[in-house]
Amino acid sequence: MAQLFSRRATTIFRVVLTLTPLAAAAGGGLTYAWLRSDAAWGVGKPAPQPIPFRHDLHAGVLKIDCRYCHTGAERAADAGMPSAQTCMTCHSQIWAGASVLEPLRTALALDTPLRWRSVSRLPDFAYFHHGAHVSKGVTCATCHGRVEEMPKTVKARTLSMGWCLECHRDPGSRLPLHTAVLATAEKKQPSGQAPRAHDTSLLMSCSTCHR
Amino acid sequence: MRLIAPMLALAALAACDSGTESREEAASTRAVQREHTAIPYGTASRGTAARAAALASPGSSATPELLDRGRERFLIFCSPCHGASGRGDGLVVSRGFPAPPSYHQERLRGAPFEHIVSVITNGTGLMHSYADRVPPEDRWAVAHYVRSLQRTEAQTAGASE
Repeated sequence: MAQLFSRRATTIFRVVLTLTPLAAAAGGGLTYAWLRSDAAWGVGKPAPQPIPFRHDLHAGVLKIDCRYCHTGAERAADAGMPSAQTCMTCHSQIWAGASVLEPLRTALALDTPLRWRSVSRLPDFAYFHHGAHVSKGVTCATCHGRVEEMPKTVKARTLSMGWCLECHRDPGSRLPLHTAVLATAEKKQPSGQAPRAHDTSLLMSCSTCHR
Repeated sequence: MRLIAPMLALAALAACDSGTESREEAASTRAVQREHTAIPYGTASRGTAARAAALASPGSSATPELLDRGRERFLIFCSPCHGASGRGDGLVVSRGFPAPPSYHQERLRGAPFEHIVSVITNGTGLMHSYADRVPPEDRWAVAHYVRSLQRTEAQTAGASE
């Protein structure tokens, strides 16, 4: 009877024994790196929109305030998307016959909403309130980046829980109060005073965001 | 032979739709905009009385805080067309929107606060209603700020003559 194992079998076995854990570790490492990368969170990825709306034109060139269209940002949980009526405030006159605005005219005629797609939507298990953040001095750009420079609206930050907590751990040092795009937050504080002392323990409590 | 029936069942199942095909590519772009539902006839929405009270004349009196609020709201909602000074030279006008009348003409200088509030509420001419964007208290704040703009302009005009 011939030998079951060749002479090289021991070497092959040793090589496989060494490489398998190494490959597993490398695979794990790559997965970890991928999950933490911006791409995995959809950063920089535009969403399909009913109309090719340009923030760089409306907010950048024309300097229309964020709150003109996102009226809920200061007081509601949802910043809100503009209604067809809001768009028509100007577009009843400007670009009135443009074919790209056809969905807008249809929405208005049929009394149906224009379905803009949010690129910054948080999952259902995270409770987020725009008003709570804006009134404490968090600017739009803190989370949404420089939207006024975006031809296509994209997510600017991962908006992962780890990213939220970076600020929730130490909000005082991170809030750019003095360069606030929204002057409201500053005005609400009595002059010369730091923003209301943030109770960090409350900010770090699970049930603050997961209700 | 006995395998044919289960095989056929499997083949039939293979054509089933798992429901995942039609899902959005990017999970972060879920649309949660709610449909507009009209208020049923004979009912009133919550806060109707409060809104009506806030809208009633003579409105809030001019305090520095109210003027600040008015200025802020003016810059957000009015200045795109009316311009920061109220001359009707906003950036949107430079893009082809017909220029609105200047606040500093005689007719509007004499207009009562109620006129300004009513224009914000109902719109006028080419201007749409801003009732859905500017709450009643803010409309009075904007009216007071517009009046202060008119006064400042009249004073500087008077000083230069």
